[in-house]
Amino acid sequence: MKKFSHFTSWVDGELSFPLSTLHDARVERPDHEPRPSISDSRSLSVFSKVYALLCMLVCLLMLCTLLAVAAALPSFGSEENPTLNEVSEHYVGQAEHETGAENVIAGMILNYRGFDTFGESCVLFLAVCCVMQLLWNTGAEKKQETDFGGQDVILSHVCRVLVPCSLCFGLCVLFSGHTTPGGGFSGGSVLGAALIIFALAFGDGAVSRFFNRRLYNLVRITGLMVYALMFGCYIFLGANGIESELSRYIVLVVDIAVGLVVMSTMYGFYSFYTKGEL
Amino acid sequence: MTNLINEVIDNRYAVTAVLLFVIGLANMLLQPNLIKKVVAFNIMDSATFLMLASRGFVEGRVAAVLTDGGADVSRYVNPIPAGLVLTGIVVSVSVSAFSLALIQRIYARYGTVELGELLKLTKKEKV
Repeated sequence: MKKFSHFTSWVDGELSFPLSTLHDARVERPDHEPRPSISDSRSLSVFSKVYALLCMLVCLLMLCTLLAVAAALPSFGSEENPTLNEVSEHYVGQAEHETGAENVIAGMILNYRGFDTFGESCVLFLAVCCVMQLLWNTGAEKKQETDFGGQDVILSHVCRVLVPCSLCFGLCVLFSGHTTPGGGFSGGSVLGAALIIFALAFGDGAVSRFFNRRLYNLVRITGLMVYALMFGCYIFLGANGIESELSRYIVLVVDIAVGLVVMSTMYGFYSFYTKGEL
Repeated sequence: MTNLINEVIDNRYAVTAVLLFVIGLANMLLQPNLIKKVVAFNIMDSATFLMLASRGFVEGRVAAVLTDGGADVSRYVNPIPAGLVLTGIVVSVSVSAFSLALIQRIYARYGTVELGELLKLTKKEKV
């Protein structure tokens, strides 16, 4: 297990390598020295002029090419559009029977193209890991500015009504994603937004009382693991070959897993940008 | 001339997407401010999503959530572009968050997000 301890601590955001290279060392700039501007250096100003000209040229070329392409496309909204081929017909016609989802898009991204969505969840997971690495413990002075700590009367009174409502709405969108518009991504975003509003209104301490770093990492990793395990089982047990209940529920389970990942990602971004920790 | 105008009106969403894309590209290349570069990147993303979503639309059909009409293929728009746009949004959010975090570190170290000043400061640092 020791071999993986570096990796696990990286995932958890505990940095085990020396941070001295990353620490903020604001470049010394004496007050009497004027701020350097681009025009100070001759070569740099020549370069920036040539660069600007080249950029405009590239943009104009791009504009002409793309407009020519756009004019040659089949017209908007027509039924002869070549993208409307047998693949989409199969998805619309068979999705309810094969995936048990009335929302064809949810059925498509979570069942037919489930590995693609798994990759997306991994992208979100890795984005949080990277933001964690970059912003860990950088916000000591920012903490004072953003932490109202329940001082703001209007905000805290509005939030008493708003947070339960948005939590309920988020759960509703999350759990009915396979039959109505919605699903893991939208539901998870609403839940994350509810957490963010809560943190804004009642202070950072209020959230970390029930949603501390341990639980945060647990939720994040559980979401991804549940997705990988359930979808892997589903695929290797024969996917559409099973006419069983598993095929009916896989979309819902995977949707909830995606929702957990998205929610923790949203809250993680907020938390690291405002205070540099959870 | 009327032919050209008709083509533009036929593909109004594609033309808008192209214009947005080029606006984003020009800003991304020419803005000296790093934050504005990220904003321009997001404009480019939106242009791509608009393009994809408009490709899937079919006149007079409804979104691909099966209602009492059943699985009648000719009643719903193409669901594939919607899924692709979802993928794109996730990647765009992740890339924006990552680049903003990088910019925050850059600001903490150099005290500026202007590209020209950054170039000078890094040059000075090397010497």
